[in-house]
Amino acid sequence: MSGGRRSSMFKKILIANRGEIAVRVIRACREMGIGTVAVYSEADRGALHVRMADEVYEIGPAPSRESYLVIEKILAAATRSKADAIHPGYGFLSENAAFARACADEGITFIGPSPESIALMGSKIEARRAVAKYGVQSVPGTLDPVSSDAEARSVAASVGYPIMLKASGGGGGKGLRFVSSSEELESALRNTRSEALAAFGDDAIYIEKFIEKPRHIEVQVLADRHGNVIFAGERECTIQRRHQKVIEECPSPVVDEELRSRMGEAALKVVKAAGYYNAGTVEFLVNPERHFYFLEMNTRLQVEHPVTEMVTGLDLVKLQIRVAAGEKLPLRQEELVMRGAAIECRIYAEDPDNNFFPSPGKILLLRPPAGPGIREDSGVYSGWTVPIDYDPLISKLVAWGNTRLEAISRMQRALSEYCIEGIQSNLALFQEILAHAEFRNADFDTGFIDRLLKARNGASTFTGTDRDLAAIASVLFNSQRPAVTGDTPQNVESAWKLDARRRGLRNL
Amino acid sequence: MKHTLIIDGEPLELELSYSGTQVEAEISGRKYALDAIAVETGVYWLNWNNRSIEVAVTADKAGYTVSLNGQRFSIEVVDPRTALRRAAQGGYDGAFELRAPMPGKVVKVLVAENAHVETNQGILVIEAMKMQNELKSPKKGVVRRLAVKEAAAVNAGDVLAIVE
Repeated sequence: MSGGRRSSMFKKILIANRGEIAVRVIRACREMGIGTVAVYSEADRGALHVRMADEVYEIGPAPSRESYLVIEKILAAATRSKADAIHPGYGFLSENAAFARACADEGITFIGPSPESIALMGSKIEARRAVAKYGVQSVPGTLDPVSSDAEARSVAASVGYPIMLKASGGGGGKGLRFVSSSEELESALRNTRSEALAAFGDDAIYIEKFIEKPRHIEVQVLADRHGNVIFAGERECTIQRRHQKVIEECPSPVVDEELRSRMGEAALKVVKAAGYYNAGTVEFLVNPERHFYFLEMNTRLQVEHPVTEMVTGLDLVKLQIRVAAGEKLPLRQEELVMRGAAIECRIYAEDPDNNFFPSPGKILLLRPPAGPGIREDSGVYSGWTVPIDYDPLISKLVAWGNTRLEAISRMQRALSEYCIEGIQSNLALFQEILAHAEFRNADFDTGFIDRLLKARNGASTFTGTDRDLAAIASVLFNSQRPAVTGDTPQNVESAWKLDARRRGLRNL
Repeated sequence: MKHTLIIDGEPLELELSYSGTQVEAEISGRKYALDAIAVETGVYWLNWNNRSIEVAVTADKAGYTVSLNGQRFSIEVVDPRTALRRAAQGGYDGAFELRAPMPGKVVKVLVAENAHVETNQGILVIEAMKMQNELKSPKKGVVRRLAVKEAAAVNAGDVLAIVE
């Protein structure tokens, strides 16, 4: 280890984020004896990350563009609190090169890569061009926008149908079109161009080969500023809904040692191409023939980093902090040991019976699971009102087991203990996924959840007994019986009075 | 004592008596004898035929949400006359106010004022947090009022339409 550089370790870190990831970073800081500064919007007064931090600064109204995304407000809080570093978490300003540069200008360490690496990897086309120089293959297609329909036709023919048309300025699933054959190409080009022009003010589009039955697998990399680089295994992130990850695993059940080392080598080349340091993630698409293609690099900590931590024993947030403070990576590639398997479920405040629409609101009851192999990274508590202004991720539940199947059973057990009331959540969906044969056999692709939801029939599976017992419990609760609630009789109003008052209110 | 409930839109008659933690209940001829203890606020532990069962009850605007064995029931405890009337109208008596569940934008209005709608027919689509959500009529009836137009911005709780 690099004990010699201890003296340069940060005294105080500002966390430019909220929710579970802010809590995660605070925990790492606390373990390292580093002071913590939270920033928060008006909607996050009393949020868990604010309650846990040593120092707190309110930075504006609920909308993130008026608070968490305002560089000046965050830097002002950092200056006032005399924080010597800023951890950006994920999302918000974490992949904003201008923010990283502004931190440097203020003499505050940005815990992440250089602004140049962020900018390079932030441009899809630039990133592909850069990694191509190092022999890393992206999804076949054009690096530059196609200039004419004739060029589009010849590129499409050379990469082979089906293809995807993508708007250069696109993102978030917009400006994307699937083209199955050359007959469809002309009208697809026209439509995508006009859609791109309307949505992004730019009708430049490029062409990519469509990868059938793709899996989404990403490699965790760590690099220090002394030229040391390691890859810390991969994560399987194929289970997605609307291009959003829902369940992640480490290791990927389809990656063997041979594929892992090939992907790891490619990831290290991407690190070189980007001149990268700190923690990062290289995303690949993998087809059933085990060919993989570079998709993009995420120049920050990933949401799903805990599965890697459970399997490798590393603490990625602490490593980020150490590398940012100038320390060397404390281990070499050959010292990395992967043990067992871990799965993460992203618990969202959303309504599975209403097209998974966000379901913010007050959490009336919260009982998270515990026990062997379970880790929960949560950003909420019982009584907290999940604000409508941000991503509805409330918690990440992670299970570790000696084998993948043991991790799955532990997750199923943990989910059965988990109780969230007051808001809707996607807990029940995870039980369906984990019990599904395709998931258990690791035989899935990115279309898995859509197929599962389509196959699901609306009929609920409750038994008459469950319904009866629910009815009994509701009457007990309604009656507020002293013997049942444990309240003393004088504190309890007559059930009739309460009932009458409630009905009166309801009629208003 | 006799209680009338509306459980997921359907009426249910429940006879219940208790002594200490011992509860006896009867629902449509099905008899239950169980031990019930409030172990946490809103959480009941039941011993029913030596089965250990936990039930969570939380109150909301519409009544109670009751969870057990991973299932959720929406329950209201009402007087018998209300129950009958609501059952006949798909769970809602009188005028139903369709309200915005969260702030957003109305992207589409699917029905006209005074149109007849069926239970679960879409009334309008709102977009919030980059997602579109179709709001449906919970009852059969007539759209008495459309309070918003397409492209309108709405706040949580705003009345969007009234179905009677």
